[in-house]
Amino acid sequence: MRMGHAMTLAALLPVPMAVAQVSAPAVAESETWPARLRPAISRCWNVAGLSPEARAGSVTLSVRFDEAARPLPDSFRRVGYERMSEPAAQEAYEAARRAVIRCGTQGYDLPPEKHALWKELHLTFDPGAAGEGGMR
Amino acid sequence: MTQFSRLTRSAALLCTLALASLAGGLAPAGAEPLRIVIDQGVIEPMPFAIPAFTDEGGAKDLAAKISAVVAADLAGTGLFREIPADAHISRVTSFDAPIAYADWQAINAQALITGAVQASGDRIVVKFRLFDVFSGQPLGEGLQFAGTPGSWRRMAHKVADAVYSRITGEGGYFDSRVVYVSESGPKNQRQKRLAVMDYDGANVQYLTDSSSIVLAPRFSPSGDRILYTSYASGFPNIYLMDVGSLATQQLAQQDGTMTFAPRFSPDGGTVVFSLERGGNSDLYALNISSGRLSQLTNAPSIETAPSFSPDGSQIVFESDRSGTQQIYVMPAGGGEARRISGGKGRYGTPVWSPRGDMIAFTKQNEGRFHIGVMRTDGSEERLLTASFLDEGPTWAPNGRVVMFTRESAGAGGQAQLFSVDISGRNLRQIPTEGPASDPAWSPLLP
Repeated sequence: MRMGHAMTLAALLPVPMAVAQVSAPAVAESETWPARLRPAISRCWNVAGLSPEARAGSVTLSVRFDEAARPLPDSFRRVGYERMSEPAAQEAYEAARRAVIRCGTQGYDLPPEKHALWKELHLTFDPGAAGEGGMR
Repeated sequence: MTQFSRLTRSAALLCTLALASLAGGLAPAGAEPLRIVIDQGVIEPMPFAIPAFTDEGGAKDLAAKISAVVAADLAGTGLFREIPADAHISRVTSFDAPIAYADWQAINAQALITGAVQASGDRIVVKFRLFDVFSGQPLGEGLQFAGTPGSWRRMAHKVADAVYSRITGEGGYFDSRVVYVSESGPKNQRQKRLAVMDYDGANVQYLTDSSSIVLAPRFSPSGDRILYTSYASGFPNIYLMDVGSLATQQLAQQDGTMTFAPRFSPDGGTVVFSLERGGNSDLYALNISSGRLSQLTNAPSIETAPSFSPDGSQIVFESDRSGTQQIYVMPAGGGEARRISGGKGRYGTPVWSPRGDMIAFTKQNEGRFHIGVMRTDGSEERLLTASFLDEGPTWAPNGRVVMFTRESAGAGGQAQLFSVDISGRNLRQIPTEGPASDPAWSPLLP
């Protein structure tokens, strides 16, 4: 939808057309591999066992990927958490790490030519961001 | 598998902005890694494998039984799913053998529990380890428990509690007991006696005979005493039983009164209950050691089913002072009560959760009964069940599960015990020898 919106704007703006044509692919690109990565991890992120506290907060982990887009198990580290205690953050981090590893055993669908962009990512797992706050 | 949330606009925007700033395709040297927000997950039981615990001497039968109970405990929560042994690729033949993670990954086991049992004389030792299969590493340190062969189920429950706690971050509830009323005989002439069982229905022991009707047993906070109501005198009166010796004593004995619906204070030193005198019932508190009785309410309506908050500062109870049964909260020493139930229908049997954040209750509305939970201010009411007759919730020690009585309709209808997760999922019947009602969960055993 964002790309379609950008193209519509470009068609309506005669002078900045060149600008629109340049920026639109960049936006489109941003909608591709991160947009594919997000659900690829989500389908392995099992929140059923998370405590209510862990479901109410967010945890951010850092992970590095090899060139085949497989997560490197030893590269995981927790880089931050919000709205929960340390024990809950550790619980949430472990569930998140399991998700990234489990769905990445065959490598994620990431563009090889962009390896510099995704060789290390910070992934924030935030079940509360969608407003449901977990299994309620 | 259930999608439980959706991508937020802000998350998408964050990603977009981050990438747009790197439109050249290469991350500048020293730049922060890209941040991607994931707010979608799935709710599905976590697959786990638990090969039969190994026998380290004299414990072949026990080893298999213990691992089976651990598996049943975890699967019974609805949060975990056991991968059957015939699907296992690896065989665990020794407790210290290296873990073939790839084999467990291949069958999609997310957690692996290995264990061993050793029996010697009147002592058994159970030890276990928990592994995060896809991370390829242990989840916490291994643990071991020692006990007698007769306590093997408790040791299995302790292992399951430790696993549950390590994965969910919450306390467990498997090593606990439930006191309840065991029923027999026809519906219009029901005989009732007190019984206790493991939380899963095993190890039933009867505490009273069926010579008099008993109701509403409640465990003390330390699990060593039980309060209940008995009609032994022909009228309801509250009694205190020592679980170890089964010795009983009547409490708050006063001529011309009836007492019922007792419950302990969090420190176990006080009993709060209903006392009926002259057709009116109010709430009273009895200091068990001194015998001092204090009146907490003074109203012409029926006040009953009191339950302390875990910090002992407040009491939730039911009253029909507004014309219908509703739920109220007042200071533990008595005083002004505020009504917290506000929906349609009648509310009763409120019970404060061990966590202190919720109150479970029975609701009757439009001919149906429900077990529900609400915040302590009455907000966020959620009905967990619906049936012909559901009533009398009691909390698991970790505040995540509620057990209650469900009675079926008709002349042949029977009371049975059920449990449900506070999310409303995982409704399960607790196996009992016959009809059963009025469950009360103990704290975790020491």
